[in-house]
Amino acid sequence: MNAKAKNSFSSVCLSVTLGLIFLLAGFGKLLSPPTFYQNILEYRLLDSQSSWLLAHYLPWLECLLGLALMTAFLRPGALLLATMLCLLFLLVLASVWLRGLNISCGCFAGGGWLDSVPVAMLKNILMLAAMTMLWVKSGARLRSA
Amino acid sequence: MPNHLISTLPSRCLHVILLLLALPLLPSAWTLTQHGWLAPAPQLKSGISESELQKKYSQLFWIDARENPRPLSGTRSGALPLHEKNWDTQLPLLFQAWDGQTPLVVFCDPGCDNSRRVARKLRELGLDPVLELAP
Repeated sequence: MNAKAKNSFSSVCLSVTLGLIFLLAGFGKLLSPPTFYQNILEYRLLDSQSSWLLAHYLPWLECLLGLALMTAFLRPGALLLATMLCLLFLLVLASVWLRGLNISCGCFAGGGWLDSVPVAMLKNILMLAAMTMLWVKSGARLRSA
Repeated sequence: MPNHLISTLPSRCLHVILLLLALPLLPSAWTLTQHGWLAPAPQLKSGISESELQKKYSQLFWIDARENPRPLSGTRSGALPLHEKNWDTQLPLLFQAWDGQTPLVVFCDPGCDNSRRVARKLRELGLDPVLELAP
């Protein structure tokens, strides 16, 4: 396997992993939108009606985004949207942390310490790092083409 | 932004983004018709203080979500233990003891997340109202 093929293979693996994470996060929330609604309310950023609508929209967006990240044709656009979404999540989590709210992030169904705000921030930073790697790899591929 | 990063953002990206933002509207509209378009009143408030509880309710049903319940003084002395580990054995006791109307208040030790999880599970079962005592 040459360097170009290796680069492409690792990009696909990384994209599929990110896609699975989004798919898992979205699917968990889809199981109970009212529970996710409670999670959104706890952030104290949106009113109840907006939170309710978001609780029904965001899980589907995450699921579709996950599938798109695993699809070669849709990957560049999905990667851009996923990057923006992760940056937004990180901003929201940072605001929770700064306000000293002791809440569960609601990122995945199940909760527990894995859903605590500092851990969620760390997960987001790792995902952003993986996305940056993908951008750099796709840039390198374009330059070598 | 470096040139190579800009070059990886062709107009196709924007089409995909618009598609991905628009597509979830359809299934989310479907789930909204299932659950109702209007948000339920956020009455299942979490983290309510003991003084607020006393002002609002004359009677409360206390649920002890600690893993190893210990006796407590005052209003919480008759609390029913309910922990995720013993869910199947302790939940039937709740249904036996609860009158179906008295507000359920779940509590735990400060910094313990059990009350949040137990309250969430009870709400998912359709019990109402379920409140969490602020640590």
